[in-house]
Amino acid sequence: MTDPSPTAAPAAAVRADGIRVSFGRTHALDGVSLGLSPGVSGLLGPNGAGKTTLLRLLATVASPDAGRLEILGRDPASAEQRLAIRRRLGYMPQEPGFHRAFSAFEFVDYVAILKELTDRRTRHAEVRRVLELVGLSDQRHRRIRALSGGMRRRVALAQALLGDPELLVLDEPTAGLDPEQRLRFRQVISGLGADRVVLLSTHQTEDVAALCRHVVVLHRGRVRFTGSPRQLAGVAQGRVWRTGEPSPGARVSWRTGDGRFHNLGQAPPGATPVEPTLEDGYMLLIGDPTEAAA
Amino acid sequence: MSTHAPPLSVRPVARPTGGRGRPATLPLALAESRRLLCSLPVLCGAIASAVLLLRADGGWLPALHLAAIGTQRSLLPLAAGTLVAANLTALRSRRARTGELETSTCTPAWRRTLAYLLALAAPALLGGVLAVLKLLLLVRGGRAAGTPDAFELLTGPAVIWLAGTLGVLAARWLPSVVTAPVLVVLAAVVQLGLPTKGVQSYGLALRWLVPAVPLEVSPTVEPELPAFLLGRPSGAHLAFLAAAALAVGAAAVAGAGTGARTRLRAGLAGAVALALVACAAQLQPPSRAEADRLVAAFQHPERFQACHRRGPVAYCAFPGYEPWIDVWAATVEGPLEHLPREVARPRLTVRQMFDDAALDRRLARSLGLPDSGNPGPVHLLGVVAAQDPAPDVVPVDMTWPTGPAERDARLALASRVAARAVMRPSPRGEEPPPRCQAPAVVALWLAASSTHGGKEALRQALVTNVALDAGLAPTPELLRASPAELQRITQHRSAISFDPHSGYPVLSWFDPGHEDEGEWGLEEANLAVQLLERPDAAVRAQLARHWDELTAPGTTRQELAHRLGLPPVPSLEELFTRRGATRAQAAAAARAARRQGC
Amino acid sequence: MLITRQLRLVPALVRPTARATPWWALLAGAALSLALLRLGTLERPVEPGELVRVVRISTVVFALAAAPLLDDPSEVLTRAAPGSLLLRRGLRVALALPLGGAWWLGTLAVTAGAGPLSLGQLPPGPVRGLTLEAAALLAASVALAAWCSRPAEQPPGGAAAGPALLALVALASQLPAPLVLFATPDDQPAWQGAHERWLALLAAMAVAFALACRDPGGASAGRRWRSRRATAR
Repeated sequence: MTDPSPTAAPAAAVRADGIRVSFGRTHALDGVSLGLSPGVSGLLGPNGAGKTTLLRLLATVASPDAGRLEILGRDPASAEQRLAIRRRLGYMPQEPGFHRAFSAFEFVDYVAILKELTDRRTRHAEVRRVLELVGLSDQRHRRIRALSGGMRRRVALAQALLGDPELLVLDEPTAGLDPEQRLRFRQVISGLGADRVVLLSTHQTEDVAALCRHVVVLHRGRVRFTGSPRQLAGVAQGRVWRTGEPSPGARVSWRTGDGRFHNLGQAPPGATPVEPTLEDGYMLLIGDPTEAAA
Repeated sequence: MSTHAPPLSVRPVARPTGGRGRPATLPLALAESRRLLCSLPVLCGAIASAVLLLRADGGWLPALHLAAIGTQRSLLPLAAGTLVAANLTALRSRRARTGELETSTCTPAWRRTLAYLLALAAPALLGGVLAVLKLLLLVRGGRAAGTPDAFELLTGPAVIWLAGTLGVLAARWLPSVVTAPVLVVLAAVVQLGLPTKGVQSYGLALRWLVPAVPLEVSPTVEPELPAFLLGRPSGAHLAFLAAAALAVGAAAVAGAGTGARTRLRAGLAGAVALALVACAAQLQPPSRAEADRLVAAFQHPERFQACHRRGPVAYCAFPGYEPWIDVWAATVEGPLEHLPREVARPRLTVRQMFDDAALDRRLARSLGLPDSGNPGPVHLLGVVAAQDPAPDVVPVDMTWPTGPAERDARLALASRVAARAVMRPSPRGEEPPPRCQAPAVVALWLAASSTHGGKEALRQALVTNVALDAGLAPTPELLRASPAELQRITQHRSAISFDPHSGYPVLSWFDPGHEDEGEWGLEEANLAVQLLERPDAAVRAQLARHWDELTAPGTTRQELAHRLGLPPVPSLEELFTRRGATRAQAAAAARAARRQGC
Repeated sequence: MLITRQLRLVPALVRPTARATPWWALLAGAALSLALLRLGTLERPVEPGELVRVVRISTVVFALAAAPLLDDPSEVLTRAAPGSLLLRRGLRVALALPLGGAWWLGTLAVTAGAGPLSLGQLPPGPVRGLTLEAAALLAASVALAAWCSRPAEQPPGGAAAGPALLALVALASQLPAPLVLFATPDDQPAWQGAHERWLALLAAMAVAFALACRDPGGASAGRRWRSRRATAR
């Protein structure tokens, strides 16, 4: 499904055509084609869908076995252009490693140096800025090994924000964050402005719903959907209903907090459909092999 | 955190400009150098090196050109710590699993590796500072001779840098936590010559491949020579180490994966070529002129020395050793000033000499010696003959002890001066006749009474000889016993040392290195010690009254004892009989001793 | 009872523990150590003092290779399992013992032909002494590895144990006469005394290893004592 928005889509800052990545006999990405324009895009998919592999390609830390990739107008296959991309890139890996003996400030400062922020005063100001952005100003001199898991993820996010990158690739940025921190994250990302490309991979569909202008769903190495969150929710239009008992026709059904059952699938006659959410659309998409990719 | 937080500032303070940014190599190197200096291996290595530096050269007056060479080995613990720390630094991203994150930045792995290599300047500089501090400590005493060679001084820091580059190389090519400690062991084995008898037993080529080449060319001989005669290829060796570090560093950067392969290959090839050239240069034998200069300095030191006259004595030292003249003068003036006023002060020349030098194979080749294949040193004395100095020349050595041993050195020098002031010149050689009879007693007394600590030194030399002679260990209690008591205890069995021609007992180990002037008789030392028990002024007055008689060559020790009121001295026959000789043997030995003038 | 339950896990744990142990370091260390030994005894006959020095150097190399023996990336997952830390680590050490024994036999074999004064032909004293030294050095390496791998956020493990062992060996080589460890066989009294100290060191390292393998979740002795005092009040 493509985005039927009547306004002209901004030119894609990131373009992938027929990308393939294999690990032995496993096809992590199997002919993935997509375009990402400035704005926040969400990447959804079950475990093993290829999200992290795709993000690693866009972060230029891996290369595809086949296909073409263009990032910010440059080809990452060329060493020089790859370097140019990295100067405009912020990357937060799924499992960020840390030099645990470093303090938060020291670690982010270290990455800032690697990002060619060579002037010390400017660099330190930038480090303080990003740490304040993620709410770690007070903790900046604590050793990383003394920080909680959520704080460490914020350190990882802070280093990705260094230097105001044009392309932000964030793999599971809100994993381990409490609701307050997740709200702050939304403020940070949404405040970055519309002139940069942000691609975040997450299992939190509410983050996608709240933040993303564009959603890509990956499943078994292929793009199953690309469009707006509303369109993804629209996949489940008329196919979500609530009952007092588990409905036999439902593909997925669970008891909600109020005791009623939330059902997805082919609604039986007489069932009253409810307004679908993005999660409903996603669940149906992933569960239904006949749903076509865009 | 409140949800009503003020708007966040999302605009950066500064944004890297588009296009090519400034490489992060130097700022990263600066950050890593700070971390290196604070790392545990470097700190432990620095402490160990500081301890070694403090302990080095203890007990001798400092010669800065030799001390500078000594700093190289003292800095080896810091080099080992740097190797380990640099290895852990280069392995850090692998162990902390930040590799992917670091790859996504615009500082590629080869630049990061280059930064690690540049960061090694910090521990190298630390090593240099420690070495310089050591030399400053030596200079502070005010009696340091010579000037340190800059190349030798820089060799220690160069070794530290080379060790660090090895650590980084190992992290790139053999990324394991085991590699660095094993490398340290292997380096120690090569550097210290551990399984064998040390670096001294290495062949010529291997010896100069070792990073910190020690001064010793044999386990027992350290060529204590003036700087201009050492003949060490310090400049070429430093160039060799620097080129080796460059080559290793280039290989480490190559191991990090790089886009600049052509330039890197060229750099690596260049560094290897430079290392080979420098290695060949350091193995080149010194020029014939250099070798001849060493021989000339050995045989005719006066050609290379400037003399400084103080009263009747001229002090001649090799260039750089002038600060030691005050030390010698403090001892030399004693016996001369204590001569009776009526006795003319002899004009003497105190001349610094070396009686031998161990040559490494390089110098031996320059002297045209055939290469026997034996890696050991060649002794100069075995190649050229020493020239006997004139009778009025008092030789002093290339070393001077400090601490408790200085007392013995003062007495030995004073005895050489006193011998020339009191006694007739005697022939020198491998087996000179012993110094005996009355003049020897007078000379020994003069030396011991006019030297600070001389009395105790002579007494201890006598007691040690007699005690060891009797098979007794010279314990503190024994050393405090009076000579008379000691005689009673030991009953003068046999002496440790005796003249080879006559068997006359002489003092051993009294003036090591100057045995060619003649050993002092044990009986004469005994008499001198008895005289030292009396007030100096009284003895001096007595000697002044009978000076000509007591210093005449034919005056016996029995006559001296009688003249000065000392207990009777046994005859030679009695002396030898007490030592277990038969009457016939004692008579023959006594005749031989009398022929020597004893 | 606790010990019996722990020991029941051993048969099932042998295979996975063997697969998880980093054998490559030990094997590479053994090969390098024996190669050094062969190189050091190329010129034969070898003097006894020199032979002893070469054997000690090769022992240190092998002991360094044992430093990462207890490195376990999955430790953070397994630390809450019933199988105790002592069991898991002890099993690794036990599985490595045959390799250690084979290495020592290799040492004796390599030095066997080193002339009339080879290890195999020296009187039993020096060989026993060197065997004890090797055992104590390996025990020290493993004990240091155990302490450096104490469950923590990112324990340094072998990365710290190796340099620490090296520092200890360097310090030991500088010990003054009454405490000397690296004595030579021709000085019998010193050799005797040194090997009594080696034996004590071996025992101390075994105890240190056991202490380092205590359950990290248990209260420390100090805390237990304080708690008992508080209860008594």
